[in-house]
Amino acid sequence: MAFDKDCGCGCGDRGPKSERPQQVCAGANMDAIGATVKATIDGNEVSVPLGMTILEAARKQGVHIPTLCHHDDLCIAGNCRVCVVEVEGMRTLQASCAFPITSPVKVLTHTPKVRRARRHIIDLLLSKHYGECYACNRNENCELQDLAHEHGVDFFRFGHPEEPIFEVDRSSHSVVRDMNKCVLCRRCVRTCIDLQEVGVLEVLGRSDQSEIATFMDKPLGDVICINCGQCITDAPPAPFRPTTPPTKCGPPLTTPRSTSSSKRPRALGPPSANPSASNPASP
Amino acid sequence: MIGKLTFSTIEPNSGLQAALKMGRVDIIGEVATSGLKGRGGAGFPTSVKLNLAAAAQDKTKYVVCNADEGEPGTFKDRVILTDHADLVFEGMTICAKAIGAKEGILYLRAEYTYMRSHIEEVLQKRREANLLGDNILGQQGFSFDISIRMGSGAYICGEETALIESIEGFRGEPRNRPPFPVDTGLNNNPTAVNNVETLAWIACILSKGGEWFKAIGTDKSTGLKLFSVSGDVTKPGVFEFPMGITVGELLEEVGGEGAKAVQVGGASGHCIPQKDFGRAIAYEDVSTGGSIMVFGPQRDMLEVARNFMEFFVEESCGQCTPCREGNAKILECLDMLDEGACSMKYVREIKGLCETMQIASKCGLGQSSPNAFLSIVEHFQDELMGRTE
Repeated sequence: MAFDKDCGCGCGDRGPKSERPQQVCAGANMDAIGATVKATIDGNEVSVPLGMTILEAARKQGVHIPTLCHHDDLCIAGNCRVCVVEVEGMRTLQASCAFPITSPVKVLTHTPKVRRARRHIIDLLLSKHYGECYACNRNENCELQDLAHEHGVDFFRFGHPEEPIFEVDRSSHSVVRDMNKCVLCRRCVRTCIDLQEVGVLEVLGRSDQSEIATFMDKPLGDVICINCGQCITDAPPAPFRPTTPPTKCGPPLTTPRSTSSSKRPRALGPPSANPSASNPASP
Repeated sequence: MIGKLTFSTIEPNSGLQAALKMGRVDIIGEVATSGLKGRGGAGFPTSVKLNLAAAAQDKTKYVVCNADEGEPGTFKDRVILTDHADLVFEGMTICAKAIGAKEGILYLRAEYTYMRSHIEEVLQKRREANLLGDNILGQQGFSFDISIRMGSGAYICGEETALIESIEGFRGEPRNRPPFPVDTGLNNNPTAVNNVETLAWIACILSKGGEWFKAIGTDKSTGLKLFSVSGDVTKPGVFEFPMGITVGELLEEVGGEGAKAVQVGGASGHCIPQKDFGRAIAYEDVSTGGSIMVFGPQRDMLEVARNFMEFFVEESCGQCTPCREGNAKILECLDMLDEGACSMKYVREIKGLCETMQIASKCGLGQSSPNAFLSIVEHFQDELMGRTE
């Protein structure tokens, strides 16, 4: 028994194993449950449960490791490589979100080598990310922006798209899909398949031509999307956004309806009937 | 081919017969004595791999033969499977005996579909001779059979975890490691994935003994190796040489004197300029999966580098950021160099990016794809820089 099939996130057998949590029981037997192992993170030795990832162990220690494709609700992908750390005895850097600790490890999370690699990766992500932050609805609420800020990105080392690459998909009545903002972290794919069990989104193509697409690359309005909006909340930048700005939402369901025009909800009331409600959209 | 390969001098099934008389530990011990390392190019000690797979306690285990020979300039596995398929299957059966597997899979490259009927025939003959199937050669309780899975045309499926994903029916994308396939591989069971040539050598080693193999080659790289030689040589083809042979000696044998550079290890290998022809082809010096591409004096090294990078831009699986975007940036840099529009500063910037790719990519593809670019820029800078439109 080297792998726990029921990982608790409901992913079952649907997703590829390249994107499923790999829980290892060292020694490959059930005695491993409840065992602990020593991890040294930036010089501090701690005892962590066997199989805990370096990222979780670091968080427990209060050590911040930046992440992008990692999301606590989702399966582990380990594909953005922003969370790389140095593990003693290994030639390459390891993705801390996907490295289960099964034997004592010594980890360094912020060496110059690691920071340089992270900076390169963020620069590469930005080289394909179209748009200006100040004109984006995720401005100030964007994980990619935070990462760039954290790593002192002040210019586009590997260029920046001057023109949009994809057409914005406005076919759905609730979700706008703008793949120009996509950084291929695949959080939306894992959300749609594993968390929501809908499976509208998948990766199409390979290499730098790969993109997040719907079935047969059809418009979002023509596929089985249930308009749950989880892709909007789970994607770190803004490839998905709601069609209607939240300010134009209807009245709360509990609002008592009244025949008196003055008591109508402000947003829906005609401007003439309710002069106190300022509605910039109306003439 | 000049002369005979060692493979044709081995008595059929002598290795398997020897292995059947031995215990698991002895078989792995014999492979450990030989010092055999993975012949696909990575050079992981085969005995360690077998030992880890044998130590796993799962009931179901697999032996997988990696015949997804996708590295540009490599064609030795094609020769082995055409002429010595029996030896490969013998090696797989020995591995099965060593780790306790009942099922074997040959992952055959899609371009080798033409070979499938021949291989099926070989397998059928082996089944009829009780070399595969239940109670092999009368040994009670030892059952093993081999099936063929066709690849789907992606270079990345030669990487062992991507190969396993592909067999399971998913997109061919590398998994996170650890855990390694020897622990959690195909269908979450321990899986020993070995190259075609490695398996053939295992059969030879069991037949002739580990000491015989160890006596050939260098201390760290023992034994013989097949090389696929192509390019500006008078005698291209598959050659067998001991490990540790220098690039210069190899060129003499194949008629490639006067070469300007040699790409050792295919597109993901290193480019060796003339002044370094004294370097040895071995895991401790210049490692190779068997590909030797020779470039004559008339070749434009910028075109060579661009050809390799175009390949990687096409073949990256697109999963991790450094490989997906990094390869495209290197190719962009080469295009700029060709137009004479690339500054030294930007070349340095890209070299820095290459180092990040080598350490931060998820799998061997991204970790080794900048090798060719880096070595060509290092040794042929004068040729690359200062171009005009």
